[in-house]
Amino acid sequence: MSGSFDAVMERLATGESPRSAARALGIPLDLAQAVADEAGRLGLVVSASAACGTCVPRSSPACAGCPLVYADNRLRGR
Amino acid sequence: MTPAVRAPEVLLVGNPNVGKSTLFNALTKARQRVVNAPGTTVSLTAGTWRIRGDDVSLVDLPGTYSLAARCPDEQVAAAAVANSRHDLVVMVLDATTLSRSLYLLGQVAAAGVPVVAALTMVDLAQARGLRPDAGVLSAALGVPVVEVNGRSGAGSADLERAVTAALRCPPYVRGIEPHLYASALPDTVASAQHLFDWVESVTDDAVPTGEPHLTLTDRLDAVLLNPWLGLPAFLAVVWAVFQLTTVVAGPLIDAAVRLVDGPVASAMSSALGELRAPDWVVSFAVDGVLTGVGTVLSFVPLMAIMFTAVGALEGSGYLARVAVVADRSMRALGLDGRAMLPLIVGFGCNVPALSSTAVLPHARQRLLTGLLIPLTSCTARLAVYLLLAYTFFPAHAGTTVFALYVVSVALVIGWGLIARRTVLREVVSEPLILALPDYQLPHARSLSMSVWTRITSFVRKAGTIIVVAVMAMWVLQALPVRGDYALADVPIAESVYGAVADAAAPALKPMGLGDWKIASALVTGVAAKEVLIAALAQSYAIDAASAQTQSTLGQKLRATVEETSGGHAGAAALALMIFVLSYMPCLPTLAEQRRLYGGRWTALAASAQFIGAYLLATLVFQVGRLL
Repeated sequence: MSGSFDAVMERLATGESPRSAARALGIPLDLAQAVADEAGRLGLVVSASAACGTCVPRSSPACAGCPLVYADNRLRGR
Repeated sequence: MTPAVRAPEVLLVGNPNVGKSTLFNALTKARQRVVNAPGTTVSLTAGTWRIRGDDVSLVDLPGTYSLAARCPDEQVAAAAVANSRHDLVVMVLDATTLSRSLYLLGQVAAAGVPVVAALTMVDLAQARGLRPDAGVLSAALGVPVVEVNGRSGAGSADLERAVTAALRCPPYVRGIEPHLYASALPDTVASAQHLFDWVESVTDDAVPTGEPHLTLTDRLDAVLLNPWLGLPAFLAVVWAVFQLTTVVAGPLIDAAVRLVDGPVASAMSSALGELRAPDWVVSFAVDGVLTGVGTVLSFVPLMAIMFTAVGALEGSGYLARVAVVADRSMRALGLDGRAMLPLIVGFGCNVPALSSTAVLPHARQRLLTGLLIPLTSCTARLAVYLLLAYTFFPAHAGTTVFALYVVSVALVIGWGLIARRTVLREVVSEPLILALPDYQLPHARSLSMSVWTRITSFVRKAGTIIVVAVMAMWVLQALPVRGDYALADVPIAESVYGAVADAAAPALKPMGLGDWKIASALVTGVAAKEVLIAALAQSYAIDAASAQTQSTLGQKLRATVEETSGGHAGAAALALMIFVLSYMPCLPTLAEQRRLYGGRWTALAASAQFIGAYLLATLVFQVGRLL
């Protein structure tokens, strides 16, 4: 067993994307993506879209209370 | 009486977009119904699959990548798999992304459920040279693996045979111990590690290895994420954005201001005159609301360009890299890496940035980050910088604004270090681990929606908070405080507004800004930073001496600062910009801070910030005038 979960996590921690990690480790891209996704579900990794980014409305629960979300919802007729 | 025989129940499980619903339609044809999942509003499609005269109840579960659910749809899928009522799972495996499919299969198997695998997208995998060997896969998994094509119906008969056999003799996945997870689905790091090891061992046998090749993302990241090149590259990008914004937007702002001050103001005055409106109504509408709101709205073209540039950077995947690059720098200074995302949000608007501190795990980290967020320069402050930069440094407006953002970052770092060494010593640094997306061209529709939403929000603010503030200012300017003046017919210096501003103005003398109009604008700017511009415009419009001149707001302001600074307008303007950057959070930000951290922390941080801004601005002016 090569410990793909730990290996991918180490790569992500150095600022690599799942694609770079997959290439460097010689594993399928979707395996690295699955590791990143599952680690996000377990609270170990932050998805780039998990916070507001630069305040793009409606991108995550972190945007609750944002006046722009309100404006966005109004625009969408909600 | 013969008891009714229950039709076997089969669940169709798989990742999103693997052809699961296409397969479901092919198997059940028109024998379908939509039902709500128990206790939820999530819709499921159930159908009858007729296999050689026998009915099988087939349920198409929502697609998911994992049974560690994070939305209601996924929760329904996870709950259905955990429910022991069903007899079999048909696991749809995408041949092009087999590892992701196998991870979910491993979780399903760990729940102790018998499985038949349906392999889809085989033709696509073959085209990419990654076609899995179904026989080898079946041998590795220990369960039947059938190649199917929902569109053509190919493989349906084989799947029927495999399911019929499986209902008689349930097959279980090899290499996964169901009893370990029978009562609780895997949700720990250890089980994830175990399952990924298992997935890798299966794919090693069944999938040909592709040749790794460098992609555009790899090449760009080699530069943009480089520890030495990443930060300078980011600074260069930001500088380019400000240069582009200021060069392109300058003429547009000028045109908008001239339009509002000229034809629009004249038309409104004429219209109100024809309606025989009292003088005070004309004064309120033209000198108050139109001047204040119009000046702020003249920044809409600039905001649109700025939001487009930032949105494009975000949509391309670059801003996520900025978080990684900045995280390294911040960790080097002892600050928590995961605070980067809320701080970056703060450059858009401080209020949602405070809300987004919820992503930080520890209360002290949230507090430290939340207290630093008002030092990140939001877009409201950008409008003020631009007015001042165009007025005092027209040839270097973009570079001036860029420098203010650098100062903003320096203040965040400086105050962060002070806080960590004094009142928040116990904060522990933890790294940010970010799943970076690949670079891509921004989607035009998403980008335009994002820009439109932000612009409408800016305009809405101009139409609400700023109108209210302008009305309040106008009322204060209409109330005489001394002399024998009538209501709404008072020189501004004799009004309540003028008297208060006059009293505050001497405090700004050390910054070279001892003028009542600037003092009053700074006070009203606490309501919202855009109000600062509206207040200046309104004061100059109402002030009799200033109103008689035909010059623009910038020219009037320059004349004032030249006088208050003793001929060192550039140094005073820099001091003013730095003071605006950090003197006080706006009221919505203060309210959110108080809600999150309590009144004491909010007051402490605001006081410290004000004192720091005052000292820094004074230092800038005093040093600047010597140069």
